[in-house]
Amino acid sequence: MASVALKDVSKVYADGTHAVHSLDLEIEDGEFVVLVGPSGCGKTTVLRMVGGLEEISAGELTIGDRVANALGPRERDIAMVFQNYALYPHMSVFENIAFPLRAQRANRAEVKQRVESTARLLGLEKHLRRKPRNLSGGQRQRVAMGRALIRQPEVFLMDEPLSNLDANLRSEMRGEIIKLQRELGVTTIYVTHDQVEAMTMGNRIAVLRDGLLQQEGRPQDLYQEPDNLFVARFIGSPPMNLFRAVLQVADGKVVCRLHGDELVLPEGYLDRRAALGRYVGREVAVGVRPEHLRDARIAPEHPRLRGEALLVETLGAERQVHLRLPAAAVLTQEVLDVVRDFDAPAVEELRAAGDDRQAEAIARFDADAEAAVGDTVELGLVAEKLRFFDLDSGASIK
Amino acid sequence: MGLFRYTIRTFGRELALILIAAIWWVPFYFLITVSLKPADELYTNPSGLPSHVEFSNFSSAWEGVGGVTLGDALKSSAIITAGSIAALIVIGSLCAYAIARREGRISTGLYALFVFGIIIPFQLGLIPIYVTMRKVGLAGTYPGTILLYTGLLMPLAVFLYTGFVRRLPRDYEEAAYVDGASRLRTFIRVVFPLLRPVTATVAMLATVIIWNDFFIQVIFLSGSPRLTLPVAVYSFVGQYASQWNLVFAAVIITILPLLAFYVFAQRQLIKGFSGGVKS
Repeated sequence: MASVALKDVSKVYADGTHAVHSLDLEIEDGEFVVLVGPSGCGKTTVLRMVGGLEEISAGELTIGDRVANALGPRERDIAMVFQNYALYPHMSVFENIAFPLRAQRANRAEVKQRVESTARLLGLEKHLRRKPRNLSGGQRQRVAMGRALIRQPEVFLMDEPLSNLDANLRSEMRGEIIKLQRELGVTTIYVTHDQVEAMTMGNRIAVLRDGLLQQEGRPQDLYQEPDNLFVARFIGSPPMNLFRAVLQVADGKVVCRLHGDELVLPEGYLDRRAALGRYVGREVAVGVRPEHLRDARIAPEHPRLRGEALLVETLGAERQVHLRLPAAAVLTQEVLDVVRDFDAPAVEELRAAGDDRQAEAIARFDADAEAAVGDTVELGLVAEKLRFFDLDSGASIK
Repeated sequence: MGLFRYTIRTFGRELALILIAAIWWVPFYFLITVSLKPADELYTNPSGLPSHVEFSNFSSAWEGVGGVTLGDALKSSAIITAGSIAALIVIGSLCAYAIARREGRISTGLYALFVFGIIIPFQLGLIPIYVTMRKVGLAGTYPGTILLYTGLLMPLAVFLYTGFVRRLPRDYEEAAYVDGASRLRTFIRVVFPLLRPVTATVAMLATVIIWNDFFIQVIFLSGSPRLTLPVAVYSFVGQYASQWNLVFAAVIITILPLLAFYVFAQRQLIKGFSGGVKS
């Protein structure tokens, strides 16, 4: 196993596209790091640069103790699982898995023994003679994993390996990949644009946007303490709710003035958040996770806000209430970039509405909470969990 | 989308189409019936069925003329065709792979040159080629003729292979590199097998062209003992101008191997034209 270090790594394509900007990222031996971000953010380019499939324009890549910039893919001792698996269609499952060993000119008996043990590990023993086209999506995915595993490489690279599977299979395979990685302890870089995968799989997450690293750290840290509006909005499902508010101080208390309502924060709030003091009198973006928007009848101790229920989704264990808040929406470029990733046409619509657009939010209520469409819902906001962001820079105010 | 109903009108339309298609069978009808007729029926009953089947026409035709049997000619045609096709496939696929995968002016220029090669009539260079080949002792030999056909058909082969490789996802090659394979191993083990449909197309087209070609073979092989089938049949016409049953029998012997090959490779041929690899 080996560590991987990217120092000031950039990628500029021949047409001038700057895909990755001065990326610094260290992946420790045996660590599982997830690169996440919307389409076109440069995450696959980073992976391909580590794999030797893309030249590094500037900076230094180290795998183990070797500088790998000039090494070809076969000299890097890495294995890669591709998004569409790239199984050789003319070869059987056995031959696909055996391919890396044959390239190493391993002897027949060893190839047979290792392919069979890898197939056993992945539950593919019965399919060894079949061609990839006769396998289900999940089985193909396993074959691709097998081909990567068999060589016992220093580093695993995985490029959205689950994106072609249906939801059930995806969650099953997610578990299997995590288990395998823990068992084998191979350093793994995993690319995805599904933030649920990012949250559940990695020891660490690195969020990219337009080729720039936005934040990296443990999944929980990114969720709770996002560095900027982009990470706040990208990590979490449903995402962090955002609205605009002007900060004011009245009678020693911080008041967030919204359009038509106000949110009074507890006394001494500014003492615990010194940086927020500089924003008094200015407009900021306020962020709150859906689980920190409570039903005020059940949790009366929190600062309150009124919202109008637009949609109520009953999910068994909880109810997700979609609300319109008496505040303006946050439509900065960071937020629009996240929206664009899953609903591109909506971006124009949001942009057209401009500052007049009211903020919408999703609250996670208990399953027995009462809320119906059209109701005015009294919300309790967990003050300690509120996050504040600079509207100009998008940076978190900590 | 409405359901398809088979009516009398459909039947009529089908019958008409079958009858029109049958026109293409007329030459085959004459070819087969005449080749099986005894010599005395050639003029008394030219278009009817033979009164009795004369298989000896085939054995007489097989004897050939001028000491070259149809068997010898078949061997020469097979060596020249197979040799040229092997060279076209090996060189053409490698060359196209380099052109398709290497970006830049050199590969674009090379590709343009090959396309240009398809357009230019080779007859323009015939005399210098002939003179040169005689000088270096390649005229009238198998290697010389194979070299000539390989050169003449290479633009077509490269054109077809390049188009196919460009549509081939790079993922397979990248997977092979990451799996530790060298460039050559990747080409031999991964890329070349995926080119099977277009390889069949190149082989098929080249076979039809080389096997049936008369012009080059009569110029470059006449006077040598390595006569090919078209040249041998041509000599036949000269010698047995009145015995069309023997000539037709020789023609059938000539086209049978090709027909068999065509039937065998038809599916691959269609795949090659439509392109694409299914994983």
